[in-house]
Amino acid sequence: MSSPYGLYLDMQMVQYPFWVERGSIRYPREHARALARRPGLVRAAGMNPLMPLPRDLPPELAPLVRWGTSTAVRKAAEQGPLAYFLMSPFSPSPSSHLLPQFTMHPAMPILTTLVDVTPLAGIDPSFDDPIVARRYRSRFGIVERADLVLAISENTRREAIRLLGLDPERIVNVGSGVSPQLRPAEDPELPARLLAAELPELKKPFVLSVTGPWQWKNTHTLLDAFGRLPSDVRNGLQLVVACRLDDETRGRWTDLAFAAGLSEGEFLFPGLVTDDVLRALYQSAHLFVYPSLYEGFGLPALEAAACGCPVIVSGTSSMPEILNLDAAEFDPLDANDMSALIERGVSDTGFRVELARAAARAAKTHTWDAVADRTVEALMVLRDPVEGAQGPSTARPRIALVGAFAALEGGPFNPQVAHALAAGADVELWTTGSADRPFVRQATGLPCLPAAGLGVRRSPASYDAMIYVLDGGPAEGEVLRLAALYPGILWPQATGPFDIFPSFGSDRPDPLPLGRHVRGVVVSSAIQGRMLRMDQGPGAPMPPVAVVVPATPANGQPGRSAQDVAKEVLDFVAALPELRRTSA
Amino acid sequence: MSSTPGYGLFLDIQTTQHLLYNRRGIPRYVANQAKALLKHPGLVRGVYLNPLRPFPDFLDSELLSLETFDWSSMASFRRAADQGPIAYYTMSPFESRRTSEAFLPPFVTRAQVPILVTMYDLIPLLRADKYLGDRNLAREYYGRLDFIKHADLVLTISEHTRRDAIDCLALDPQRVVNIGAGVSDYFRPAAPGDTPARTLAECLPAIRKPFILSVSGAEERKNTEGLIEAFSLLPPALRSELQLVITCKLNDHFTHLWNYKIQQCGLTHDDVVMTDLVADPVLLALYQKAELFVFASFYEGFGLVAAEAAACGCPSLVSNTSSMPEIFNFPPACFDPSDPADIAGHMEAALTDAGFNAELRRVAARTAPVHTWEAVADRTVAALDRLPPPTGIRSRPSPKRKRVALVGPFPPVLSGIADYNGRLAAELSELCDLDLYASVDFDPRATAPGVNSVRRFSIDALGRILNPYAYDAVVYTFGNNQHHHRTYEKALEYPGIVWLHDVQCAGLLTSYAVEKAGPEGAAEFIADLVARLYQQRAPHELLEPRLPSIEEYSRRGVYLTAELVDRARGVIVHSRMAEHLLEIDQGPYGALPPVAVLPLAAGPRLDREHSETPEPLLASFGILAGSKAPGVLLEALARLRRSVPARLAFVGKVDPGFDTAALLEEAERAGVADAVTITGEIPADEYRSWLGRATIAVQLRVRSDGESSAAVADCLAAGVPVVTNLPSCAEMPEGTVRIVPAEITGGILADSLRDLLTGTDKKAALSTAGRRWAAEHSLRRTAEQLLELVDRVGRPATAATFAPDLAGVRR
Repeated sequence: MSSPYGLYLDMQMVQYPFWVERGSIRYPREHARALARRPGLVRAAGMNPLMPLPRDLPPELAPLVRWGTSTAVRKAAEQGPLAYFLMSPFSPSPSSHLLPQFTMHPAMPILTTLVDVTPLAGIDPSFDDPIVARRYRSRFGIVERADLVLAISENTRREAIRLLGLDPERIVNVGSGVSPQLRPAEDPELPARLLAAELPELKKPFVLSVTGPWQWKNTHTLLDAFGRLPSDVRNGLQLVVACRLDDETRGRWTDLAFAAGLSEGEFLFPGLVTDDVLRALYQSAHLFVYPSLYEGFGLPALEAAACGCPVIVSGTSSMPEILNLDAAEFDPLDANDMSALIERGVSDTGFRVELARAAARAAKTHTWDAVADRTVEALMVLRDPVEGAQGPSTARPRIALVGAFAALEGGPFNPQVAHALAAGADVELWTTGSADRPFVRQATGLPCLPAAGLGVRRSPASYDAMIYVLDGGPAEGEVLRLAALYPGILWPQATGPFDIFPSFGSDRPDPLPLGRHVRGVVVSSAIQGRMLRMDQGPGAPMPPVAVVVPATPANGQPGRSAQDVAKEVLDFVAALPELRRTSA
Repeated sequence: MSSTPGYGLFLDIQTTQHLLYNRRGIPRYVANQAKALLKHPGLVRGVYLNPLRPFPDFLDSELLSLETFDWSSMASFRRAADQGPIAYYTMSPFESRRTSEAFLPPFVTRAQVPILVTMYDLIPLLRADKYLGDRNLAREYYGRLDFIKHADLVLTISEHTRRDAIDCLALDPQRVVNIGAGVSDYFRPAAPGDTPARTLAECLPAIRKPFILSVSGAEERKNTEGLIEAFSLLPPALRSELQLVITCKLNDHFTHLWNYKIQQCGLTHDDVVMTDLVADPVLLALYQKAELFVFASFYEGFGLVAAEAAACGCPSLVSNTSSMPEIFNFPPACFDPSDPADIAGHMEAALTDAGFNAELRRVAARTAPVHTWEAVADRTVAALDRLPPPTGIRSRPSPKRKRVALVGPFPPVLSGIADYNGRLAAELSELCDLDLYASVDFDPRATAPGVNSVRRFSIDALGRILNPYAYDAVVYTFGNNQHHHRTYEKALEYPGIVWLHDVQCAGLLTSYAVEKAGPEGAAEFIADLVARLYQQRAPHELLEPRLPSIEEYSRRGVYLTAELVDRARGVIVHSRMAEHLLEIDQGPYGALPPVAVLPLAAGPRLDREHSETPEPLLASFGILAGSKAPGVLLEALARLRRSVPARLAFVGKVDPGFDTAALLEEAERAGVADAVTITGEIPADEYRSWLGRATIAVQLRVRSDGESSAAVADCLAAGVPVVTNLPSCAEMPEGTVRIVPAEITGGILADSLRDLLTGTDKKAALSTAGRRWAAEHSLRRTAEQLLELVDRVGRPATAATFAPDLAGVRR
C-alpha cells in the first residue's frame, strides 16, 4: 500500500537528552525508523536547528536528517504532496518551535501522535496547576487542530474522542511496537552476568516493575501488595522497581516498603538504569508487574513480554490491550487482588505457561513494522491532495528583516521598499538597539518586534530568509551577532562603491564577515560586489551576491522604483534554496 | 591611437600594494600608465594584484572599478588568455622581495607568453657600493636584472635610462624603447577659484615669504645639501626676500644632516623650511605658488617632480645629468648639480633676469602637453609592434594541461593516505603538471614509487617560496590525525580542494589543539572551537573542557569540518553518506562548495586461484580493532560451525589498543578457538596470499562516517566476495557486495554467510561484480575525476550561481 503523501517528520523531541521517560523518546524514534524503512515514504527527518543533534541517530534515519527550516519543508514538498508529521506535540520545545507558521498550508495536512490524555483524565492533581494546565491546553490544541491523530492505543483513541471531542474519523489507533533488541536472552548466562556486575544487591529471583515517581504509576499499591504476599512466597523473592528516581521519592518508597512489612534487601530501587541493564532485568525477571492506574499504552509491560518475561497488568485504561488476556489483569486499586495475582504469577506453573504464551503473542503482534503499516493505512483517511492548493513550495515567502532601523530614510532599505516588500512576501521587522518601534511600525506598515525575542518568541527557521540590515551605526554589532547566530542575508546600507570594502577607506571598523554564517549579500553596485570578492582573497569561496541598485534619489538610478528594489531582493531570496552550493 | 595591437596585456600592478609609498613615485606612475592604456579598446585584458601581498590601501578608483581588476592567479590568467594572445607586463620589476614565484608566477613563464617590463632607472647598479652592500639584497637585485635582460621588451621612462639599459645590461637596442612619463592633469596652473595661498597658510604656516621649491628625497643622490649651499650663495638681498622649501618624507638622519648643513652655510630655520611629506592638494599649492622650482638631483630615471612643477606653471631648473635634461629639452635650464655656485647662478638668473624667467615660464607651459599619459600609452602600444607577431609563438597557457599541487603525506611515510597519495601522484603526473607538497617528514632525497618523477617540496614552501595561486588548484588531503596540522593551516590560508578521507575532523583538531595550546590548554581550545562553530547547536557535553573521544564526536553528529569547508573551493569525500554528514555539519544554511564523491580506488587486479574447499575460509582484512566488530564475527562463526566447518582469519595489523587475549578467550568460550587465526602485521605478499585463499571477506564496522575501506577495495580487485555493513559499500551498484544491516548481529551474519557458502553461483556473481567495480574504479579514473573537479572549481562563477555581477548590473 502506498501513500499519496510523503512524510516530513518533525523529530525535535529526540534532541532533548533529558527528556528521558523511556517511552517519550523511544516511541517516536522507533516509529520513525519503521517509517523510514518504507522506500520513498519519509522525505526528511527534521531536527530543530537551534539545538544539538541527538546522540546516536539510528542508521535508517541518519540519511534523512535535515535541519528543520522553512526551506527544508519547501524542498520536501517539491517532490510531491507532503504531510507534516509532528511526532511529539508534548515535547519540551517552546510552543513557537512546534508547527511554526510555515507548516500551515491548505495542501499540507498535519499529523500528530497522541500518546495519552493523562492530564485530562483527572487522575493526578498536579495537572490542575494553572501553569501546567495552560501548557497542556496549548499542546492539546495542536492535537485538536491536526488533520490526523495517531493514537498509540485503542484506549487513548477512545479517551481522546471522549475528553477532547475529536472527530472519530480523524483519530486512528496505530498501536505501539517493541524494538527488536528486546527479545529473550539466547543464553541466560549473559544477562545474569551483567546483572551480577551492575546490580550486585540482586540476589534472589525477583519481581520487576518499571514505574515512575508519579502517583498514578501506583508504586505504593505495588509495595503494599508485595508486602501482602504469604511469607513463604515473599521470602524467596526480591522486588525491583526501576525508573528515574529522585531522593524524595526514593525515601518515600522506602518508608512505604518498610510500612508494608518489607525488610532491607527484599526490595531494590536501582534508579534509572541503562538500556542494557534494563534488558537484562526484563530477561531475568521472574515476573513483571505493571500496576499503573492509567497509561497511554504501557510500553514497559510490552518490553518485558518481548523479553520473554511473564507479565501481569492493571485492568484499566490501555493496559489490557497489551496482552489481551483477562486472566493477566488485576484491579490496581485493590492491593489484595494485585497481591493474589502476583502470587499466582510467581508460583502457579500452569498460569506462568499461559502468561509466557501471551507474552510471546504480544511481542509478535506489537511490532514497529505493524505500527508503520497502520500509519500508512491511516494516511488513506486524509483527503487526496487537492490540485492547485497552496502548499509549502508555492506559498508566499516569509522574511524577517533585522536591524537597528535608526534612520529609516535615505538608505537602500526605506519605508517605500518596506511597503513594496510586503506586497510580495510576509515581512516582519525585528529591531535591535533602542529603535522607536511604534514609529517604525507606523512608517513601514510592518509588524515590528524587539530582536531579543528572536529564537524565543519565533524560531528563525520559520522564515525563508533573515535579512540583516546593516546601517553602520552603533547597534550594528548586535545585528551582526544575530547574523552569526541565525544565518541570513546581509544588506549593508552604505552605497558608495568602496564603502563596503573594509580595508579601503571605509568607516566600517571591521571587515564584513563573509563566512559560513552568511547565506547571501545584497550590495548596491557591481563594484561593491567585486570589492567584497577581492576582500576575501583570491580564489576564496563567496556566498551568493545580488546587486540591487537602490532607488533612493540621492544615489539611485533614475527611473528605479522601490518596487524594483523589492522585486530583486525577493528574487534573490527565492533563488536561495537552489543555491545550497556556493560558487567557487 | 595606433591600430588594434595583436596582443592583449596582462598588467601586473603589484607595486600599488606597497603599504608606505604607494601614493607617489612608481606606484603612481603605474596607476596612471595603466589608466591611459585602458583607453585603448581591447588592449588591456586585466589589471592584477599579487595575491600574496595585502590589498593596497590606496588605489585609483578607475582601476578599482574595473571589471577585470583581480588578483593574479592561474585562473585569472587563463581567463585573460582565453580571449586571445596575451603579453605579460611587469609594470615594476623590483617588487616583492619575498616570493619570486609571486613576483613572476610560473604560469607566465611556462606559458611562454612575451614579457614586457618597465625600467625606471639603474641607480642601485650604478651605485652598487652604496645600494647593494647587503648580499641578499644584491642577489635579489641581480636576479631581477637578469629577468629584465630576458624580457622580450624593456620599456624605459627616459631616453637616458634606455641608454643605461643598453650600455649596462648589454641589451639589444631594438628591444629597449623609451616611453617617457606623463604628468597627471591634476597638476595645472592655479585657476580662478583656487586658493593656493590659503592652503599654504593653513597647512604650512612656516612659509612666510615667496619661496623656491624643491621636491627631494631622504637620499644623498637627491643632492639636497648642494641645493642648500647654492641657496646660501645667492646674493643676500635676493636671498633675504626668499625661503627655500624642501618637500619630502623626512627621516632623523637626513633632518639632522640638513640642519647641520643649514647652520654651516650660515642659514637659519627661517630660511629653509622642511615640510615632510605633504598631501596632494598641498603639493599642488606649493607648485602653484613657488617662485622657482629647483631639482638638483645627481641622478634620476626621469625626474617627474620637475615636470609636475612646470605643469603648474612654475619656472623650473634641473640638473644637467642623467635623464633630467630630457624633461624640458632646454639646455639653459640645466645646471651642474655638483657645483653649488652654478646652481646659485642659474637660480639668480631665473629670479632676476626677466627675459630668462619669461623663457622658463614658456618652457614650463609647454611641458604638460608633451609629457602626457596618453603619449606614454601610445608609445607603449607602438612598442608592442617590436614583439614577434602572436602567430607562431606560444602566447597562451596550455588549455588542457592543468597545474595541480597535491598536499599531504607521501611515501616513504607509512600511512594509508601516504600510500594512496603516492599511487595517485603517479597517475596524476601523466594527466597534469603536478607538484607534491609533503605535509610530514619531507625528505628531498627519499625515493619512493609514484613520486620520483615529480617535483616535490616541503609543505612549508607553499606560499613562502612557491605561489599557491599559480595552480589551477591546490588539493589538500586530510586524514583524521596528527599528520595533517600543517595541511590544515595551509588549507585555511590558501583556499583549495579539500579531500576528506574521513569527514570526522575531531581527531585532527584535537591533536592540533594539543600542539597549539599544550596538553593543559587543548581541552579549552577544542571546546571553544565547538562553541564557535556550532553556537546553539553545540552539545553541552562537548563544551566542557575535556578531550572527548573521536567516537563521541561522531555519535553526537559533530564533525568540526566547518572551517575547512568554509574556505574550500571544492571538497572530495568517499561516499554520499559522507557528503550528507558534511552537509548537516554545516548547520541549517551552511553551503557546500562543489563536491566530488570519490570512493577509494581499487588497486590493480589480483588474480587468484580459488577452489571450493570443504573448509571455507572467512577472512576479515585490515587493522583488527574493536570498531571492526570481531565479536559479531566470532558469534557468527560459532553458529555457522554447527553446520559448516568454516574457519576465520583476522588478516592485518592489530590495533595497539585492542585486547586480543579477550577475543581469544571469547573464541574459547564459543568453542571455536581452533578455527580462528589472528595474523598480526604481515608482509604484503603474505597479505595477498590470504586474499587468494579467502572464500568470503567479512568487513564490519560498529559505526561509520561514510569512509570507504581500502580492504574492501583490495578484496574487490582480487575477486573475493565481500560481506559488509559499511554504508559506503551500500552505495555501490547492487550486487557488488553483500550488504548486511548496520546493526549487525551474529545470527543475521551467520544466516547471510550460510546462504553465500551454500550457493556457488552467488559467490561467483559477487566476485565478478566486484572485479567489474574495481576495474571501473581505477586510480586513473579517480585522477580523471579529480581533474574534473579542478575544472569545475576553476570555472568563473556564472550568472546562475549569483556571481557578483548579476541582477542590477545588467539593467
